[in-house]
Amino acid sequence: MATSGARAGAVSSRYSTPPCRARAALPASRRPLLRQSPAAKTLALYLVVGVVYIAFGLLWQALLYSSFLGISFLFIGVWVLPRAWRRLRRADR
Amino acid sequence: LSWVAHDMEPYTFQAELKTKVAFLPLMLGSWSPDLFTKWFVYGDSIFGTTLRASNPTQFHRGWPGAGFTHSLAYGVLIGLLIYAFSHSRIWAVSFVIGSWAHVLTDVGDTVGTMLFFPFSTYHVSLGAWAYAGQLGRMTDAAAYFSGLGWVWDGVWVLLAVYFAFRGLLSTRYFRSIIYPTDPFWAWIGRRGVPESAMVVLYRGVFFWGTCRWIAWLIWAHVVHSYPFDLSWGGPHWVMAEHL
Repeated sequence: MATSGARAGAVSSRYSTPPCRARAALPASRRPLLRQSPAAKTLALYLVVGVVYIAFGLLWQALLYSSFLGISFLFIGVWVLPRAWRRLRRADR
Repeated sequence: LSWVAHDMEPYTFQAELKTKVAFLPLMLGSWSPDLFTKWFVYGDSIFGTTLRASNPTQFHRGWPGAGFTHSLAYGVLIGLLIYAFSHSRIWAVSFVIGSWAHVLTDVGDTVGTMLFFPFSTYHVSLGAWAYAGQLGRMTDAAAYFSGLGWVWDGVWVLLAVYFAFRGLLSTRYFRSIIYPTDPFWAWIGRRGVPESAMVVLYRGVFFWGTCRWIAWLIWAHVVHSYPFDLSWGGPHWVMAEHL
């Protein structure tokens, strides 16, 4: 299928830089909050794990009693799983 | 008894005292009075056999019983033992501060604590919220999160959240204050635990305490319909224990 030169050029320039780098090149005010700040990203991760912990805890109250289970839940949710996920993605590339 | 205050107090003390205390013994001190006794107060089933104190309140706070763990002298005694074995002043002092915080917080319920044991077995009590440990875990949770105990926990949660927003839980704070004041972190570091994992462990009790404070509140008032009673000594729908 024939494509006009101008259109092909626009497409190639759009993908000449990886999307995340392109987003990082935006002014800070236009970047999504989670991309701007690693601290906001960390806080969001803790909040998500917290909500999941509360939901599981309401179903199974023993989870709320035990400090060992509570801290292990956090450790798996914010440290083990993200680390495993990053390794898997690296291995995929 | 308190459900979440004992988890959150060490963070507030840490924020105020900075390098004068070590976080881990502060937390262990705060947990220690209930660490080996609370399960026996509520009872637990092991291989089909239920183990439970015949008089849970007497066992938890009284004498004879394990009530000596809720005294000022207990913290000092364990602090001296820690100093004798480790020669670490900061560990001993931090443990004493944590333990005293626990003992003084528990003065708020209707049973109170034997603050001046072994010189006196008198229970110092403000009677602000009902002690219902003798009725089992669930009733205790429902009563605690319906009375002033829940409010008192909330004060400590809010203080810890306030300090968290001022950087108490940041990696930078961990690196500059928590890590250098306690050789424990370097010790686990030498055993292969990375700094990022240590920071998660340091934040762990804050996360656990805050989440369960919210979760028990939802459990008591949304999942179930236990009525709030924020009057002094309440909730009055539960049979509060006294010694």
